[in-house]
Formats: sequence, C-alpha cells, structure tokens
Amino acid sequence: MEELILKLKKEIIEVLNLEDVKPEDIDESAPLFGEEGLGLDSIDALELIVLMEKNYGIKLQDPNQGKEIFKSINVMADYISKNRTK
Amino acid sequence: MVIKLADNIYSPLGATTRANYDAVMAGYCALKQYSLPDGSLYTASLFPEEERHDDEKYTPFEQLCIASASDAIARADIDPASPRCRFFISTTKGNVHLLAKGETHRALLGTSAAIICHHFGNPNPPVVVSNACISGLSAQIAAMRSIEAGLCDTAVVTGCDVQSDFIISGFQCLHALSPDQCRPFDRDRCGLNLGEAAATIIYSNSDKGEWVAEGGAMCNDANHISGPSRTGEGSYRCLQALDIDKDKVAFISVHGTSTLYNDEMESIAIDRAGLADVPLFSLKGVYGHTMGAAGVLETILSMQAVEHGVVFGTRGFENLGVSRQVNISAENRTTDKQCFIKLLSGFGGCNAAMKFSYGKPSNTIKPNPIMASNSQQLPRVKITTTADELVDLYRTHVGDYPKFFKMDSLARLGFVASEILLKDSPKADYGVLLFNRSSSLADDISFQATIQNRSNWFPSPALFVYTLPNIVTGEIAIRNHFQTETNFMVLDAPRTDIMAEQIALAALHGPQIAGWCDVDGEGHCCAALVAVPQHTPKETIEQELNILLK
Repeated sequence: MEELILKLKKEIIEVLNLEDVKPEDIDESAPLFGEEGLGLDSIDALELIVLMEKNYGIKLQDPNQGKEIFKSINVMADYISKNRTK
Repeated sequence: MVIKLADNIYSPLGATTRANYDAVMAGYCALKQYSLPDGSLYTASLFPEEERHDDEKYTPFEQLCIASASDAIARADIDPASPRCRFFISTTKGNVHLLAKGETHRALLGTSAAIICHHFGNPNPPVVVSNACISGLSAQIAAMRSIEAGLCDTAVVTGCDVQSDFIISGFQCLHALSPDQCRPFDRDRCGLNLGEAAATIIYSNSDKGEWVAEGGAMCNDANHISGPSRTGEGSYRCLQALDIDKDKVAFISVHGTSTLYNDEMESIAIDRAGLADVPLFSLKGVYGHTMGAAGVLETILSMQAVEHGVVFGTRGFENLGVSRQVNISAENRTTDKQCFIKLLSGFGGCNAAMKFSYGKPSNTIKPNPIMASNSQQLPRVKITTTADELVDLYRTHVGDYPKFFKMDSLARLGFVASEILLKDSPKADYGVLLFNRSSSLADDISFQATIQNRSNWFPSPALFVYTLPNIVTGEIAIRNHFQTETNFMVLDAPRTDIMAEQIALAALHGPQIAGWCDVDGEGHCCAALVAVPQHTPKETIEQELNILLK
C-alpha cells in the first residue's frame, strides 16, 4: 500500500501541476479538496477521474462518486487497490 | 442602437430563417444520439455526414459561414465588397478538426475568417470574436458599436461552429453532455446537447429595417473559469445594465444549456433582476448548443417569434428544476409585446445580454464617435519570451498565486503581463479586451494529443477548459475581481488600427486592460498590454500599440 500511495502522490502532483509540492508534503489522511490540504477544485476532480481510468482501469460514470473516493490519498489508494483492473 | 437589415439561419433544420422558424413551430428538432470512440453516448444536432466534407476551396466551417452570409447579404441587398462593410465572425473553434491532421495554419481562426471575407471581396481585415459561448452576442455588440462610431455603414455578423471529436470529447470529459435529448430548466435535466449551425445577422446605420438592436452589456462573474457564479452575478449585472421595462418585454431568450449549474445560475440572475415573471425559453432542446452560432441564431429566431406574436415553448421542459420561481415557457404561447432580451453566459466567467425591439425606429442612429486625439501616455507592458520562461517571470513579479501553475501558457502570459501592468496603473474596475493570432492553439494541440490515438483516448478536462482563448480574460478578472466587460478577438495579424478601434469602443463604457496576447504553436509568447482609461481616443491607443508591437 505504501508503494501505491507514493506512486499516487507523484501522479497527482504531475497531472494537477502542483508546482512546489513534493510527495512528502502531502498528508495522506488530509482532505484533497476544500480549504484544507491541497485545496483542489472541480476541474481537478475531473482530472482525477481520468487518472483513475488511464492508470488503473477504473471508470467512474458518475462524477459524484469522486466526492467519496477522493476524500484523501488514503481513501483513494484503498479504493484503487480494491477495484483496479490494471 | 442599430437597425437589422436581414438575417439567415443555416442549420440541420433548414437553410433559411423562415425554414427554421417553421420547423421550430412544427416541433421538429435534429437531435440524434451518436457515440464517441470510447463508446460513450451523446446527443447532438448535426448536419448529415455526406454534407460534412472539405471541398476544393473551403472547409465545412467555411462553407457554412459562406452559405449563411450569402443568403443574408442577398436579402439585405448590400455590397459585401464595400470598404464601408465590416465582417465579424463569431466562433469558438472554427476549423479545429484540422489539428487531428496536423494542419495548424488553416485551423487558425484569423486564417479561416480571411478566406471567408475574401470570398465576398471584402477589403477589410476580418474580426473574429471568440468569447466562448457568448461570442454571438459579443460580436453583435462589437458590430453595433462599430456602426455607431461611424467605422462602417453595414456589419455582417456570422456565427458558426462545426462539431468534431475535439469539442465533443472535451465536453464529455467535463461530464457536461447528456446522453439523451436535453431538458432545459427541468428537474431531471442531466447535461447539454451540442449542435452545429451558422447564422448571420446584418446591421446597418440606415433606417430600412424594423428591428432595432437597442443595446448590449457584457459582465464577468470574476468567480471561476468554467463554473457559473452561484449568485448569477455577471448575468444579473448585464440585465441591470440594459434598463429593462419588464412590462414591454415579450420574453427573455435565455442560454438554458440544460446543465445543472447554468440553468440554476440564470434563474437566480433573472429573479435578482426582478424579471421572474417575464416568460423565458431556451432553444437548446431544438438546436442543441451551437456555441459560436448560438447568440446569433437564437437572436434571429427570437425576432421571428416576436414578429409572429409567439413566445416559444422550451422543448424538453416539464417540471421546474431550479430554485427560483421563474416563468419558463413550456409550450408555445402568444404575445403582443415587441421587445425581447437575449441572455448568454460562457466559460471564462463571461455573460452577455442584448435588448431588441420591433417596429419602425423612432429616431435615427445616435452617433457615438470615438473622441478626438490627445497625446496622453498610458501605462503599458511588453513581454516576449518562451512558455518555459513565463514561470521565471511569475516568480520574479508575482509569486503569490499558486493557481498560476494550473493555467495554460496563454493564460499564464496574460496573467503575468496584467500583473506587471496593474502595478503601475490606477486602480479601477477594468474591462479586459485581448487580441491575438493563434487563439488557444498551443493548448489546443496539447488537448488534441490526448485524443489523437483511439487506443489511448483520455481527453483531459484540465486542458480542455483552456481551449478557449478568452479564458485568460477570465483569469485576469478573477484575480482582480473585475466584474465588467471581458472579451477576446482573433485577427490574422497584429493589426494595431483594428485593435485600437475596438479598444476605444470598449473604453467608451469603462477603463480597459487591453492589447495583444499570443502564444503560437511553438510556445513563443508575446504580450503587449495597455491600461486604457475610459474615453481614451483611438489615436492614443494605436500610438501606444504601435510603440509596443512594431
């Protein structure tokens, strides 16, 4: 799981252009969206949906599912490990 | 205030305005279900496949523009080759489908517009208004102001967009498309349908017509580049600016895209403006969202409705699904009122509204000339650099806006240039009017790469939202809380005379951050911006732009 978490952090930093953020700066239990944590917004959420499909073969039909899955890096990694098809 | 001479709608429902009006009244629509290469379904109003091919001279986009403009020009009986006639082309993506074949030159909006104008022998450089989904109203406002200022006697405004995998996959990855026919303002609405069409409206300073474009307003939400304001701020401000006597208004022809957020936003704006009991309808359930054509097409059909004493129904609407009790017209009904409002909003936070009235105009065109010259020097900035070096400029001159790194290179360039310019400019609620040659080409190429390979089809939402050049104006508005006009025009070259004219016309309505902002397909960046006080004459602006650009 730790390996997946680190990989996920690197992928998120790259795909969301989180300049000046390093993997160790991201608290894996902190919220990804909103004022705290990384402060991501709605377009970032859509980009994470693409990342899930492209890198892990997980297709989310309803963007609202993302609200639960993208709560934190930990939640996201857990969901990926249980549902990944690649 | 200008007079309409003639118009045309060229859509899958018919090749003339009359044919389209009859089709709408008969309850027809051309919305059908299609599928994308990844298997996802969408519904759109498209021309038949056999009509969508390049001929020897023209692309489908150019063919449509020419067909629509030709019909309107013949009806108006004007000389399109006259130097006193100007063309305004309204489009968001023009020939963008050519990027899939690696053809970048013809994909440039200015190149394509020049080809269209050349067809008609028009000697003036064409102005392309590419202001997202409000382009069709922004172009009419630019045409109206140009006539009022005496820059031309007639203006041909043609709006057009042709659908392609580029656009459809982009909206799909934003989860904005409905797989079924859209349902504007309905509680079960689940997204928009795209459509393609061309529409042309011809304005004049003569008194030979019965439709008057009385006025127009554009206001930015200064809130988000792709999400509408939760308070309907920009649309509300546009409606307020039009000085509407609601007892005289037959209806508001709204944007009504059938997305959750757009329809809710419009209901809030209309309610806040005290217009909740005015009938309103959306034509998206008939034509889909025709993007650059929408503002022109929906204006023309609304004129037809008033002429026939009709308020259109909203195809797809059954049960009110917005928070405000607005008066959605579900079925066609009658009216004897002779004035209407056209309302639009778009990505980049832009909003526009125009007011039209029918009947013999009582007064002639009120001249609104651009004022005489003076020699005042304006705050200005010029940046020529590469996309990579923009980050260094940001770190040196700004440094406190992490959203910068989310932006595409065009938005980064305009953002950094405006930040530097505003440090030395008087504080004001500036409008933003930018021009370039490449539109959003650099980002368009990046987005195209995400859909180029069918087996690796992952369209990027973060790239797609920047495939409109006016997003940079929205970024500047958001950063500075500018809630006035934002607009973007594309030219075939940095023509300082045309730019100065349009900037001076915008400056009649308020101070402007304005000028050139271009990133070409290879990442070469050039920005030349001026802070223009209200009522600055054209000559002063042109002088400053000449210093910067020549």
